Amino acid sequence: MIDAGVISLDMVGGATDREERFRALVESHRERAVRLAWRLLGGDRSAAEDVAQDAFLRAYRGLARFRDEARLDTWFYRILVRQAESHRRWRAVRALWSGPSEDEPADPSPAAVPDPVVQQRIAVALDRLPAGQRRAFVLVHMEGFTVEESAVLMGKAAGTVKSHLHRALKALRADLADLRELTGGNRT
Amino acid sequence: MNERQRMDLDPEEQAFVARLADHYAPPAMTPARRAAFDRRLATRVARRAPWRVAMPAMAAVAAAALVWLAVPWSHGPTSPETPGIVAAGGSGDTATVFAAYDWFTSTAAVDAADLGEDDVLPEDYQAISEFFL
Repeated sequence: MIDAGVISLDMVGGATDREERFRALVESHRERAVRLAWRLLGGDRSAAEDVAQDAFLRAYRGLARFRDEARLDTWFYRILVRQAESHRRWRAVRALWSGPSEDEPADPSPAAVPDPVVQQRIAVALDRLPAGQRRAFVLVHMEGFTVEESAVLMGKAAGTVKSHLHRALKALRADLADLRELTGGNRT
Repeated sequence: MNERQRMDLDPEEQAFVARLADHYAPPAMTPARRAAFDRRLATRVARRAPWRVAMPAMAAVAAAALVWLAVPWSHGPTSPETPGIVAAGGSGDTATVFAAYDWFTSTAAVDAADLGEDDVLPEDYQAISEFFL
């Protein structure tokens, strides 16, 4: 829970309402936001938290103007997906300038169960996908958004998202075919 | 029916996707990590956006610019009667600029009956005046 004593309460007229709505938003979506960002950013825990923070901050600033509670989640996740994509672009530019060795690997934390090696393989396989396919796959097959919700989050048509999903699944199965952890068979 | 089934994935594909999702997830946030996340977010929320901090300064600069443009420095004198006064937009110091302003207001206050406009304007400005008026 966000500490009310720390959050600025110097505003008047609807400020308390905004603070309450914001606290509820953070409380409900903190974990999922970080997880989604983590998956979109190739398993980088620190970057995922930064991106989630940025998305929450943007949401806070826009919350006073946003009244459609029913679509609040979609609105927030749309912000998050964009933030994640911006971060990826920024990271790619930074890697170009500083060389590939500066590129951040997946979180090497020993707590990153179940298997860091498998996670790294998946991260690399996802990274090889075109951006649209990667986003669609993570949103629908990993985060459980519907195709229609994902289409809204991505700003694409539902048909496009389905096409991305089909291609992404095909590519990932081919890329990760040797991982028995995923295929359920023997490692080749 | 979940989304994977709605996507017409066969059982093998469904299993693959489910395992992928299981394997590719961050560890759950610990209470300490969650608290740190919230603290940092609260601090950032409390901090005013940089553009909001800069807004009063920018407004002050804009107001000063408007005042500067509103005051008709372009009629500023360069004639011998006003020594040491620079023309509009010049690089003179503040005292010089105020001296120019004083000169202008004192000149404008002169009774038109005693002094014609042509007498007030420097010679090189008269042609411009005739063109526009």
